[in-house]
Amino acid sequence: MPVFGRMRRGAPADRIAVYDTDRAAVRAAGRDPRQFEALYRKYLPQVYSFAFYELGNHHDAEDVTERTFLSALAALPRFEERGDGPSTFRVWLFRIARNAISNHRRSLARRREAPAELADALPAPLDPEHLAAERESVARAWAAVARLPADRRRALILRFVEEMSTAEIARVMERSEGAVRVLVHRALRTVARELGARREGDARQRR
Amino acid sequence: MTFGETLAEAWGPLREDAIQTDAYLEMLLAGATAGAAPTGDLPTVEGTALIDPALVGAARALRDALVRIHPSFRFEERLAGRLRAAVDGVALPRAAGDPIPFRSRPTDAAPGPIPGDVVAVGRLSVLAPSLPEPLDRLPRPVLIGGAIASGVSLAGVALVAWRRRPGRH
Repeated sequence: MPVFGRMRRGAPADRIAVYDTDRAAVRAAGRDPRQFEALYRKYLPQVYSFAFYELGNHHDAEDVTERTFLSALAALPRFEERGDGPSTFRVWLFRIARNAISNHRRSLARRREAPAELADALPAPLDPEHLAAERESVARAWAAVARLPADRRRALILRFVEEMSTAEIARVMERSEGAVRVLVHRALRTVARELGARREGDARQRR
Repeated sequence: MTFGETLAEAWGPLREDAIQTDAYLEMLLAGATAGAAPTGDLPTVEGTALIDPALVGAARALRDALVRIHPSFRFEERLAGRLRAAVDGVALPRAAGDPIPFRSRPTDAAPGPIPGDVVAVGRLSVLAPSLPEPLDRLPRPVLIGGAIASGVSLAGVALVAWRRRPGRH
Protein backbone atom coordinates (compact mmCIF):
# COMPACT_ATOMS: atom_id res chain seq x y z
CA MET A 1 0.00 0.00 0.00
CA PRO A 2 1.58 3.28 -0.97
CA VAL A 3 2.11 5.94 1.61
CA PHE A 4 0.59 9.25 0.63
CA GLY A 5 2.95 12.07 1.32
CA ARG A 6 2.19 15.75 1.74
CA MET A 7 1.89 17.70 -1.48
CA ARG A 8 4.01 20.66 -2.40
CA ARG A 9 2.23 23.76 -1.17
CA GLY A 10 0.09 25.33 -3.85
CA ALA A 11 1.95 23.96 -6.86
CA PRO A 12 -0.69 22.10 -8.89
CA ALA A 13 -3.74 23.87 -7.53
CA ASP A 14 -2.52 27.21 -8.87
CA ARG A 15 -3.22 26.06 -12.40
CA ILE A 16 -6.89 25.24 -11.83
CA ALA A 17 -9.21 27.38 -13.93
CA VAL A 18 -11.64 29.75 -12.24
CA TYR A 19 -14.69 27.90 -13.54
CA ASP A 20 -13.89 24.76 -11.58
CA THR A 21 -16.35 24.94 -8.70
CA ASP A 22 -14.07 22.61 -6.75
CA ARG A 23 -11.13 24.96 -6.97
CA ALA A 24 -11.16 25.89 -3.29
CA ALA A 25 -11.57 22.29 -2.17
CA VAL A 26 -8.80 21.09 -4.47
CA ARG A 27 -6.52 23.85 -3.22
CA ALA A 28 -7.30 22.87 0.36
CA ALA A 29 -6.54 19.24 -0.40
CA GLY A 30 -3.35 20.36 -2.08
CA ARG A 31 -2.25 22.03 1.14
CA ASP A 32 -3.47 19.24 3.39
CA PRO A 33 -4.46 15.82 1.93
CA ARG A 34 -6.86 15.32 4.85
CA GLN A 35 -9.08 17.93 3.24
CA PHE A 36 -9.59 15.50 0.36
CA GLU A 37 -12.45 14.15 2.44
CA ALA A 38 -14.69 17.04 1.33
CA LEU A 39 -14.19 16.10 -2.33
CA TYR A 40 -14.72 12.47 -1.46
CA ARG A 41 -18.05 13.15 0.26
CA LYS A 42 -19.21 15.31 -2.63
CA TYR A 43 -18.34 12.92 -5.43
CA LEU A 44 -18.84 9.51 -3.83
CA PRO A 45 -22.46 9.09 -5.01
CA GLN A 46 -21.57 10.25 -8.52
CA VAL A 47 -18.61 7.93 -8.94
CA TYR A 48 -20.49 5.06 -7.31
CA SER A 49 -23.51 5.56 -9.60
CA PHE A 50 -21.30 5.70 -12.66
CA ALA A 51 -19.59 2.45 -11.64
CA PHE A 52 -22.87 0.78 -10.74
CA TYR A 53 -24.50 1.54 -14.07
CA GLU A 54 -21.37 0.46 -15.90
CA LEU A 55 -20.81 -2.79 -14.03
CA GLY A 56 -24.34 -3.70 -13.00
CA ASN A 57 -23.81 -4.77 -9.40
CA HIS A 58 -23.00 -3.22 -6.03
CA HIS A 59 -19.98 -5.36 -5.24
CA ASP A 60 -18.05 -4.39 -8.38
CA ALA A 61 -19.21 -0.78 -8.05
CA GLU A 62 -17.77 -0.63 -4.53
CA ASP A 63 -14.45 -2.09 -5.71
CA VAL A 64 -14.14 0.42 -8.53
CA THR A 65 -15.23 3.34 -6.35
CA GLU A 66 -12.62 2.47 -3.76
CA ARG A 67 -9.87 2.21 -6.36
CA THR A 68 -10.94 5.47 -7.96
CA PHE A 69 -10.74 7.50 -4.78
CA LEU A 70 -7.51 5.92 -3.57
CA SER A 71 -5.96 6.60 -6.98
CA ALA A 72 -7.30 10.16 -7.02
CA LEU A 73 -5.86 10.82 -3.58
CA ALA A 74 -2.49 9.48 -4.65
CA ALA A 75 -2.52 11.39 -7.95
CA LEU A 76 -3.92 14.69 -6.68
CA PRO A 77 -0.48 16.37 -6.71
CA ARG A 78 -0.37 15.69 -10.45
CA PHE A 79 -3.83 17.12 -11.15
CA GLU A 80 -3.61 20.18 -13.31
CA GLU A 81 -5.86 22.30 -15.43
CA ARG A 82 -4.95 21.96 -19.08
CA GLY A 83 -6.92 24.93 -20.35
CA ASP A 84 -8.28 23.28 -23.51
CA GLY A 85 -11.78 22.53 -22.30
CA PRO A 86 -13.61 21.78 -19.09
CA SER A 87 -10.75 19.92 -17.44
CA THR A 88 -12.21 20.27 -13.99
CA PHE A 89 -11.62 18.09 -10.96
CA ARG A 90 -14.87 16.25 -11.75
CA VAL A 91 -13.74 15.44 -15.29
CA TRP A 92 -10.36 14.32 -13.99
CA LEU A 93 -11.99 12.11 -11.34
CA PHE A 94 -14.33 10.52 -13.86
CA ARG A 95 -11.43 9.74 -16.15
CA ILE A 96 -9.81 7.88 -13.29
CA ALA A 97 -13.11 6.09 -12.69
CA ARG A 98 -13.41 5.23 -16.37
CA ASN A 99 -9.92 3.67 -16.32
CA ALA A 100 -10.71 1.81 -13.10
CA ILE A 101 -13.87 0.40 -14.70
CA SER A 102 -11.92 -0.71 -17.79
CA ASN A 103 -9.29 -2.40 -15.62
CA HIS A 104 -11.98 -4.05 -13.52
CA ARG A 105 -13.71 -5.38 -16.62
CA ARG A 106 -10.45 -6.80 -17.87
CA SER A 107 -9.90 -8.54 -14.55
CA LEU A 108 -13.29 -10.23 -14.64
CA ALA A 109 -13.17 -13.74 -15.97
CA ARG A 110 -16.32 -13.20 -17.99
CA ARG A 111 -18.44 -10.20 -18.78
CA ARG A 112 -21.54 -10.16 -16.63
CA GLU A 113 -24.89 -9.20 -18.01
CA ALA A 114 -26.03 -6.05 -16.25
CA PRO A 115 -29.84 -6.14 -16.35
CA ALA A 116 -30.46 -8.75 -13.64
CA GLU A 117 -29.05 -6.85 -10.68
CA LEU A 118 -29.88 -3.45 -12.10
CA ALA A 119 -33.50 -4.51 -12.03
CA ASP A 120 -33.12 -5.90 -8.50
CA ALA A 121 -31.86 -2.53 -7.32
CA LEU A 122 -35.10 -0.82 -8.17
CA PRO A 123 -37.05 0.27 -5.11
CA ALA A 124 -40.08 -1.82 -4.28
CA PRO A 125 -43.32 -0.04 -5.08
CA LEU A 126 -45.20 1.33 -2.09
CA ASP A 127 -48.52 1.03 -3.85
CA PRO A 128 -48.20 -2.08 -6.00
CA GLU A 129 -51.28 -1.43 -8.13
CA HIS A 130 -50.40 2.13 -8.96
CA LEU A 131 -46.63 1.84 -9.20
CA ALA A 132 -46.17 -1.56 -10.77
CA ALA A 133 -46.47 -0.13 -14.28
CA GLU A 134 -43.99 2.62 -13.46
CA ARG A 135 -41.54 0.12 -12.05
CA GLU A 136 -41.98 -1.98 -15.16
CA SER A 137 -41.20 0.93 -17.47
CA VAL A 138 -38.12 1.88 -15.42
CA ALA A 139 -36.90 -1.73 -15.56
CA ARG A 140 -37.38 -1.73 -19.33
CA ALA A 141 -35.45 1.49 -19.72
CA TRP A 142 -32.61 0.09 -17.61
CA ALA A 143 -32.57 -3.12 -19.60
CA ALA A 144 -32.47 -1.16 -22.87
CA VAL A 145 -29.55 0.91 -21.60
CA ALA A 146 -27.72 -2.19 -20.37
CA ARG A 147 -27.91 -3.72 -23.84
CA LEU A 148 -26.28 -0.74 -25.56
CA PRO A 149 -22.70 -0.94 -26.80
CA ALA A 150 -20.30 0.20 -24.07
CA ASP A 151 -19.46 3.64 -25.48
CA ARG A 152 -23.09 4.58 -26.13
CA ARG A 153 -24.14 3.37 -22.69
CA ARG A 154 -21.36 5.34 -21.05
CA ALA A 155 -22.32 8.51 -22.89
CA LEU A 156 -25.96 8.12 -21.84
CA ILE A 157 -25.07 7.46 -18.21
CA LEU A 158 -22.83 10.51 -18.04
CA ARG A 159 -25.55 12.61 -19.68
CA PHE A 160 -28.58 11.42 -17.71
CA VAL A 161 -27.24 10.19 -14.37
CA GLU A 162 -24.32 12.56 -13.90
CA GLU A 163 -25.97 15.37 -15.87
CA MET A 164 -22.69 16.25 -17.52
CA SER A 165 -22.54 18.65 -20.43
CA THR A 166 -21.49 17.38 -23.84
CA ALA A 167 -18.15 19.14 -23.38
CA GLU A 168 -17.54 17.37 -20.06
CA ILE A 169 -18.48 13.98 -21.49
CA ALA A 170 -16.13 14.60 -24.40
CA ARG A 171 -13.30 15.21 -21.95
CA VAL A 172 -14.11 12.14 -19.87
CA MET A 173 -14.42 9.88 -22.92
CA GLU A 174 -11.57 11.52 -24.82
CA ARG A 175 -13.76 12.12 -27.87
CA SER A 176 -14.77 15.24 -29.75
CA GLU A 177 -17.96 17.01 -28.72
CA GLY A 178 -19.47 16.20 -32.11
CA ALA A 179 -18.71 12.51 -31.64
CA VAL A 180 -20.35 12.56 -28.20
CA ARG A 181 -23.50 14.21 -29.59
CA VAL A 182 -23.73 11.51 -32.24
CA LEU A 183 -23.12 8.77 -29.64
CA VAL A 184 -25.90 10.08 -27.40
CA HIS A 185 -28.25 10.57 -30.33
CA ARG A 186 -27.69 7.04 -31.60
CA ALA A 187 -28.00 5.57 -28.11
CA LEU A 188 -31.29 7.38 -27.63
CA ARG A 189 -32.54 6.17 -30.98
CA THR A 190 -31.68 2.57 -30.05
CA VAL A 191 -33.44 2.89 -26.68
CA ALA A 192 -36.48 4.47 -28.36
CA ARG A 193 -36.64 1.65 -30.89
CA GLU A 194 -36.39 -0.96 -28.15
CA LEU A 195 -38.99 0.66 -25.91
CA GLY A 196 -41.31 1.08 -28.90
CA ALA A 197 -40.88 -2.54 -29.93
CA ARG A 198 -41.69 -3.69 -26.41
CA ARG A 199 -44.78 -1.53 -26.26
CA GLU A 200 -45.96 -3.01 -29.56
CA GLY A 201 -45.25 -6.52 -28.27
CA ASP A 202 -47.25 -5.86 -25.11
CA ALA A 203 -50.15 -4.46 -27.13
CA ARG A 204 -50.17 -7.55 -29.35
CA GLN A 205 -50.20 -9.80 -26.26
CA ARG A 206 -53.13 -7.91 -24.76
CA ARG A 207 -55.07 -8.33 -28.01
CA MET B 1 -17.90 13.01 -55.62
CA THR B 2 -14.92 12.29 -53.37
CA PHE B 3 -15.05 9.94 -50.42
CA GLY B 4 -14.80 12.90 -48.08
CA GLU B 5 -17.77 14.62 -49.69
CA THR B 6 -19.82 11.43 -49.57
CA LEU B 7 -18.97 11.04 -45.92
CA ALA B 8 -19.86 14.67 -45.17
CA GLU B 9 -23.16 14.27 -47.00
CA ALA B 10 -23.98 11.12 -45.05
CA TRP B 11 -22.95 12.60 -41.71
CA GLY B 12 -24.49 16.01 -42.24
CA PRO B 13 -28.10 15.15 -41.37
CA LEU B 14 -26.98 12.87 -38.53
CA ARG B 15 -24.90 15.67 -37.04
CA GLU B 16 -27.79 18.08 -37.33
CA ASP B 17 -30.12 15.59 -35.65
CA ALA B 18 -27.54 15.03 -32.94
CA ILE B 19 -27.27 18.77 -32.30
CA GLN B 20 -31.07 19.06 -32.06
CA THR B 21 -31.19 16.11 -29.65
CA ASP B 22 -28.39 17.63 -27.59
CA ALA B 23 -30.26 20.92 -27.28
CA TYR B 24 -33.41 19.10 -26.28
CA LEU B 25 -31.59 17.04 -23.63
CA GLU B 26 -30.01 20.20 -22.25
CA MET B 27 -33.46 21.66 -21.79
CA LEU B 28 -34.99 18.45 -20.46
CA LEU B 29 -32.28 17.85 -17.86
CA ALA B 30 -32.14 21.50 -16.86
CA GLY B 31 -35.88 21.28 -16.22
CA ALA B 32 -35.41 18.15 -14.15
CA THR B 33 -32.68 19.84 -12.11
CA ALA B 34 -34.87 22.87 -11.55
CA GLY B 35 -37.60 20.60 -10.19
CA ALA B 36 -39.96 20.63 -13.14
CA ALA B 37 -42.88 18.24 -13.01
CA PRO B 38 -41.54 14.88 -14.19
CA THR B 39 -44.35 14.19 -16.62
CA GLY B 40 -45.62 17.68 -17.33
CA ASP B 41 -45.34 19.54 -20.59
CA LEU B 42 -41.92 21.00 -21.09
CA PRO B 43 -41.22 24.36 -22.66
CA THR B 44 -40.28 24.17 -26.29
CA VAL B 45 -36.99 25.36 -27.70
CA GLU B 46 -36.24 26.24 -31.26
CA GLY B 47 -36.04 23.08 -33.30
CA THR B 48 -37.47 20.76 -30.64
CA ALA B 49 -40.50 20.15 -32.81
CA LEU B 50 -38.16 18.60 -35.38
CA ILE B 51 -37.15 15.82 -32.98
CA ASP B 52 -38.69 12.43 -33.49
CA PRO B 53 -41.41 11.99 -30.82
CA ALA B 54 -40.04 8.50 -30.14
CA LEU B 55 -36.72 10.10 -29.13
CA VAL B 56 -38.54 12.56 -26.89
CA GLY B 57 -40.37 9.67 -25.23
CA ALA B 58 -37.15 7.70 -24.76
CA ALA B 59 -35.39 10.74 -23.32
CA ARG B 60 -38.18 11.30 -20.81
CA ALA B 61 -38.19 7.60 -19.88
CA LEU B 62 -34.44 7.70 -19.29
CA ARG B 63 -34.66 10.91 -17.28
CA ASP B 64 -37.08 9.14 -14.93
CA ALA B 65 -35.28 5.79 -14.90
CA LEU B 66 -31.61 6.71 -14.70
CA VAL B 67 -31.45 8.01 -11.18
CA ARG B 68 -28.33 8.39 -9.09
CA ILE B 69 -27.66 5.43 -6.82
CA HIS B 70 -26.09 6.00 -3.42
CA PRO B 71 -23.73 3.51 -1.87
CA SER B 72 -24.47 2.10 1.55
CA PHE B 73 -23.57 4.20 4.56
CA ARG B 74 -21.34 1.42 5.80
CA PHE B 75 -19.35 1.44 2.57
CA GLU B 76 -19.08 5.23 2.60
CA GLU B 77 -17.66 5.26 6.11
CA ARG B 78 -15.36 2.31 5.51
CA LEU B 79 -13.83 3.97 2.46
CA ALA B 80 -13.57 7.28 4.31
CA GLY B 81 -11.57 5.42 6.95
CA ARG B 82 -9.31 3.88 4.31
CA LEU B 83 -8.64 7.29 2.79
CA ARG B 84 -7.85 8.76 6.20
CA ALA B 85 -5.52 5.89 6.93
CA ALA B 86 -3.89 6.33 3.50
CA VAL B 87 -3.26 9.99 4.26
CA ASP B 88 -1.75 9.05 7.62
CA GLY B 89 0.32 6.31 5.99
CA VAL B 90 -1.19 3.59 8.13
CA ALA B 91 -1.54 -0.04 7.12
CA LEU B 92 -5.18 -0.54 6.21
CA PRO B 93 -7.51 -3.25 7.52
CA ARG B 94 -8.61 -5.63 4.82
CA ALA B 95 -9.68 -8.76 6.64
CA ALA B 96 -10.34 -10.15 10.11
CA GLY B 97 -7.12 -10.36 12.04
CA ASP B 98 -5.49 -7.38 10.31
CA PRO B 99 -4.46 -4.47 12.50
CA ILE B 100 -7.02 -1.68 12.44
CA PRO B 101 -6.56 1.96 13.37
CA PHE B 102 -7.84 2.87 16.78
CA ARG B 103 -8.15 6.35 18.20
CA SER B 104 -7.61 7.02 21.86
CA ARG B 105 -10.72 8.32 23.60
CA PRO B 106 -10.51 11.74 25.22
CA THR B 107 -10.55 11.37 29.00
CA ASP B 108 -13.70 13.49 29.40
CA ALA B 109 -15.60 11.73 26.64
CA ALA B 110 -18.92 10.05 27.29
CA PRO B 111 -19.15 6.28 26.99
CA GLY B 112 -19.79 4.91 23.52
CA PRO B 113 -17.83 5.15 20.29
CA ILE B 114 -16.30 8.48 19.38
CA PRO B 115 -16.45 9.55 15.76
CA GLY B 116 -13.78 7.79 13.77
CA ASP B 117 -13.45 4.93 16.26
CA VAL B 118 -13.39 1.47 14.89
CA VAL B 119 -16.28 -0.44 16.39
CA ALA B 120 -16.61 -4.19 16.26
CA VAL B 121 -20.08 -5.22 15.13
CA GLY B 122 -20.30 -8.99 15.13
CA ARG B 123 -17.59 -10.13 12.76
CA LEU B 124 -17.46 -6.75 11.05
CA SER B 125 -15.41 -3.73 11.90
CA VAL B 126 -16.96 -0.42 10.96
CA LEU B 127 -16.11 3.19 11.59
CA ALA B 128 -18.38 5.06 13.93
CA PRO B 129 -20.62 7.42 11.94
CA SER B 130 -19.87 11.11 11.52
CA LEU B 131 -16.49 12.59 10.91
CA PRO B 132 -13.75 12.85 13.47
CA GLU B 133 -12.63 16.35 14.31
CA PRO B 134 -8.87 16.58 13.99
CA LEU B 135 -7.18 13.72 12.24
CA ASP B 136 -3.76 14.36 13.64
CA ARG B 137 -3.81 11.83 16.45
CA LEU B 138 -1.80 8.76 15.62
CA PRO B 139 -3.94 5.68 15.32
CA ARG B 140 -3.17 2.79 17.64
CA PRO B 141 -3.39 -0.63 16.03
CA VAL B 142 -5.60 -3.27 17.57
CA LEU B 143 -5.55 -6.86 16.46
CA ILE B 144 -9.09 -8.17 16.64
CA GLY B 145 -8.18 -11.68 15.53
CA GLY B 146 -5.29 -11.70 18.04
CA ALA B 147 -7.58 -10.58 20.84
CA ILE B 148 -9.92 -13.47 20.13
CA ALA B 149 -6.99 -15.90 20.08
CA SER B 150 -5.75 -14.49 23.40
CA GLY B 151 -9.19 -14.97 24.90
CA VAL B 152 -9.30 -18.59 23.79
CA SER B 153 -5.79 -19.17 25.24
CA LEU B 154 -6.80 -17.67 28.59
CA ALA B 155 -9.90 -19.87 28.67
CA GLY B 156 -7.69 -22.91 27.97
CA VAL B 157 -5.31 -22.02 30.80
CA ALA B 158 -8.25 -21.53 33.17
CA LEU B 159 -9.70 -24.91 32.20
CA VAL B 160 -6.38 -26.70 32.80
CA ALA B 161 -5.99 -24.93 36.15
CA TRP B 162 -9.52 -25.88 37.15
CA ARG B 163 -8.91 -29.55 36.25
CA ARG B 164 -5.63 -29.61 38.20
CA ARG B 165 -7.07 -27.79 41.18
CA PRO B 166 -6.14 -29.25 44.60
CA GLY B 167 -8.68 -31.70 45.95
CA ARG B 168 -9.93 -32.92 42.55
CA HIS B 169 -9.82 -36.78 42.35
